[in-house]
Amino acid sequence: MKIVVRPEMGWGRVTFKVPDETFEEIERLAEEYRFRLDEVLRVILLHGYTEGAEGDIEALDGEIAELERKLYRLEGDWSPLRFRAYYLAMDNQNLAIQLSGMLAENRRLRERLGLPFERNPEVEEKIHYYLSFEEDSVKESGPEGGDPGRLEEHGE
Amino acid sequence: MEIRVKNEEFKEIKKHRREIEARFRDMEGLERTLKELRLRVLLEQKERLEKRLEELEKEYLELIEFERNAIADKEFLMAFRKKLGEENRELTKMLGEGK
Repeated sequence: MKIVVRPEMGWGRVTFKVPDETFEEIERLAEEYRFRLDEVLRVILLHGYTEGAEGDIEALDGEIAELERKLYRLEGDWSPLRFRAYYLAMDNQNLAIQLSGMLAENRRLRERLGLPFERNPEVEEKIHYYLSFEEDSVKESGPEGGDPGRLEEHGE
Repeated sequence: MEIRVKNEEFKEIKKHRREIEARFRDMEGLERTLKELRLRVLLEQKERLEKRLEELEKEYLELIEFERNAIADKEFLMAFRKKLGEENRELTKMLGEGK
């Protein structure tokens, strides 16, 4: 087998005469280690050989397959959870809208009756949180990216 | 078989022709190198997957925490709405009686 190397631009060539059995061995090694033939030839022509490294390719393949399985499972669980969280947040936003109206009414009624208005900081904090809640903070966080950091703002 | 390389690479190949010919005779060296390259590729892939899984697990736990808080908030706000509704009805009634 003749391997002819040419430059992308210009003239010239270098020819290597490789015995057929050597070329077959190169093809076999390319297949075994899952590289394209041209990649293997580039190693021979340009990169040279290394000292080698210890390691178990089969074991690594197994570990990678297991990690991919875990990722797949987690991504499958992610969507329904995100859906539930989003609609819960929207329910709470509607409650917050109702409550701000009701609190305003309470203040007005108390004023007319000459009664003091009692503030409730915990309720006010939650109303404020859900009124300023942005849809994207749940909808767009997830396996594809987004900003899950905003969820951390939410305290009890 | 023909292979095209960049001009600088071609110059290198011409310069190191004898070494390359020796490499064509050293199939053990080639196997050793390909094994190392494959191991490197797999280790990088494994690291990427581990990192992604770690990030996703963290985000997933945050979302679970968010859901848990939102459920508690919903119950709390609904209970407060009930109490406030009753109070407002009572105050409206008091206001009506005072007229």
